[in-house]
Amino acid sequence: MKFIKENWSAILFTILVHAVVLALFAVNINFNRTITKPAKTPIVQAQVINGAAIDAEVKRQEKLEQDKLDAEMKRQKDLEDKALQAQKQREAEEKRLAVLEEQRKKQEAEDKKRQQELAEKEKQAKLEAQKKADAEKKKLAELEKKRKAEETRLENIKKEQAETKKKAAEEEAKRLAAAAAKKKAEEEAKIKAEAEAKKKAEELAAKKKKEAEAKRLAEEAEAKRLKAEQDRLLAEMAGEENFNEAVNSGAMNRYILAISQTIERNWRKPPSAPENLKCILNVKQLPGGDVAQLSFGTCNADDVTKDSIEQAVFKASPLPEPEDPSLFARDLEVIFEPES
Amino acid sequence: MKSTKFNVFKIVLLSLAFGLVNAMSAAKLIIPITDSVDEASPIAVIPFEYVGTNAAPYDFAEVIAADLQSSGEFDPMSRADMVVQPGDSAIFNYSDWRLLGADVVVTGKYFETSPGQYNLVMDAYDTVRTKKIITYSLPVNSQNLRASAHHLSDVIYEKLTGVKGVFSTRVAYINVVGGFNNKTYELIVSDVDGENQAVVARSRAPLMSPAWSPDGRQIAYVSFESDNSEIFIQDLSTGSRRSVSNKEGINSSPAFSPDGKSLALTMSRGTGNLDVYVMDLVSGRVKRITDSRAIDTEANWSADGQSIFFTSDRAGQPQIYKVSKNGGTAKRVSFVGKYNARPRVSADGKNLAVVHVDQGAYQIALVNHKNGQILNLTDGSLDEAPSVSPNGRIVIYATTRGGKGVLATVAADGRSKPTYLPAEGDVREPAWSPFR
Repeated sequence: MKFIKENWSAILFTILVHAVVLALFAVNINFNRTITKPAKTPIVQAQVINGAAIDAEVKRQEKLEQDKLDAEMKRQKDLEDKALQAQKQREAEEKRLAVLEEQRKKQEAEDKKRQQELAEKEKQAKLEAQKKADAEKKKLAELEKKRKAEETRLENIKKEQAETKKKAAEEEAKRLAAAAAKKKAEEEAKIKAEAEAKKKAEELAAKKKKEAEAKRLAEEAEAKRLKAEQDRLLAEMAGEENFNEAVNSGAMNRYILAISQTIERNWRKPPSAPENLKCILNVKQLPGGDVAQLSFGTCNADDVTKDSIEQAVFKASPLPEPEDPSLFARDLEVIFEPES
Repeated sequence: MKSTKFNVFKIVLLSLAFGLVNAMSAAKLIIPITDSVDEASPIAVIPFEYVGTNAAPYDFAEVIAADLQSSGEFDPMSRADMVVQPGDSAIFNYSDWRLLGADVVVTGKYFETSPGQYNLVMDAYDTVRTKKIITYSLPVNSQNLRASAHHLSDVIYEKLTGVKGVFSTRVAYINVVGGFNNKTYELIVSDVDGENQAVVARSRAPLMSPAWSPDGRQIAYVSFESDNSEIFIQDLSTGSRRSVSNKEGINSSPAFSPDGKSLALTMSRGTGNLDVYVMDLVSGRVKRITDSRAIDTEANWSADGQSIFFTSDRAGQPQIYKVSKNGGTAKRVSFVGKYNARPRVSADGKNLAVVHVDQGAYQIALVNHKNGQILNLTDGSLDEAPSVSPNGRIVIYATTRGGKGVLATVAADGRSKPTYLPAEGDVREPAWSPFR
């Protein structure tokens, strides 16, 4: 104690110096360790010397640290949010894809079904078309057969006609020869008579001349009339040629087919129709195809079927017109004979 | 003079030749008609005019149009399309209706003579041939309005198709109502359009196989009310019934002969082997007409009453056979497909409506028993119990929709799609009545 008393000032000085050095040391350490461990600084005494400054520093450090933590946490949170967001988007996308996939599958199934239906329809249509084409072909062939038979019949008529003409010409020649001989005899008799009664003959000649003149005029008129008739017939013949040409080109068959199809489209055969139905209906049509008159020919149908047949033809009116007007036929014989 | 004469001769010849050719071109054209269309015929049934002080008591036109539509052979015009609705035939205008596309127009008028009594006149016009084709008058009373409408439908149908209409006939069938624990079986008779239902018999035990007597007054059916199967014949007007077969084992599939004097039925008689028998309904005497070891059942009489068609699996699979009503050798008549059963003879006797299995689906088909040809009528998967209308034009049968049994009709020529009858409950085994 005595030592302390005697040297108090030196000791105090020494303590002060130590304190300052320690304080400086502490501050220095603080500076060096700010980043690593500010909260664990062991320098408690320094607070005694400059508590406020160190406090501020510590607070600053703490705030920095806190900010950094906050930033880190915010970053973590942002990352999590983003991840969550991404997850949500992925799920939404997956859901959307699933819906799309389902739609696609549904569409695919529908397409397939539609294609199958289309194929089936096409198949049916083809079958139907084939059936119709066959029926048409058959009908055309039948018509062709009928037409050929008619042609043969006409050919025979023409042959007969030529035969008749030849015979008639021969007979006429004979007749003319006989007439010439007779005339010659008459002329000889006439010369003889002239010699005997020339005067009378002259009178007669004058009279005859007058008569002959009148006759010539009459004959000329007749010839003119006949010529006109001939011209008319020739014109008709030209029309006939059109008719034949049209028949040969197939237009007649097409005309017949057009009429029969129009009537068929309008015929509802009733259930009461007999199985072996054959019914002939005579139809008169006007130019333009309007049906004017109907009458039944041979027919084994019941009344209801007859009604249906009449209805069919009236509903089909006006009937189709031919390509070539010369083919128009006023009278039709419509034969109802369904294929069973 | 010579040359002139010769010219004249030539012209005469020429004229002769031309005469021939001209005669040829003026000849009739032959038009062959071999085909027709299958479409339903357009018809307009105009609302009937009512002359009276109160409101019109009934819509005849509506019922008639529905009847005609159901036949599949007519296509009635909707009322909205009837821009002209003449009540009075005096102002009837053919060309208006021709333009509207109706081949036939039906009009009607009725007036009250005393309360609930009416006089009705129906006319029908052919707009194509422009003439009146039907005039029909009918006294009507408030008790028979619907029946009268069906009768008018029959008149129109017969005039236009040449075939008797079936709109006034009836259908018998079995209906099962109630759930698992309170199932009730009903034998019902209704109009062919499903309306006007009447319960003929009701039972907690199964009822089966209704069959009409040829006069339409009685129905034979199978009942399990005594635990064993038993065949009853019931009078429709009195409701009285009698048991005709309750032998040991199975008693089933009754079918009246066309003369009404006999009943074909199936019995096992305690042997476990099903055979077809014919019962004399006066004496009750029974004659066995099949005796194979296989199942022989579902008898139905030929139109002439001399033979019986039935189902037998004697060849391994169910097929249709024909045997004399006196028994003897049975002849197989169905050959197409592995399964043909439950034959019902058509009105003309030529065809049998059957249940035909096609690739695992039970469908209704017609079998021509003379040549064995088959015509498929339906394309369902569980179609059964066909019965042919008395005019032979329609087949009614049972099928399933939404797990429940319903009745459907289809044209006997295979042209139409099925029409389903309205039904409540679980419906099966329709039997079409004869004409009244």
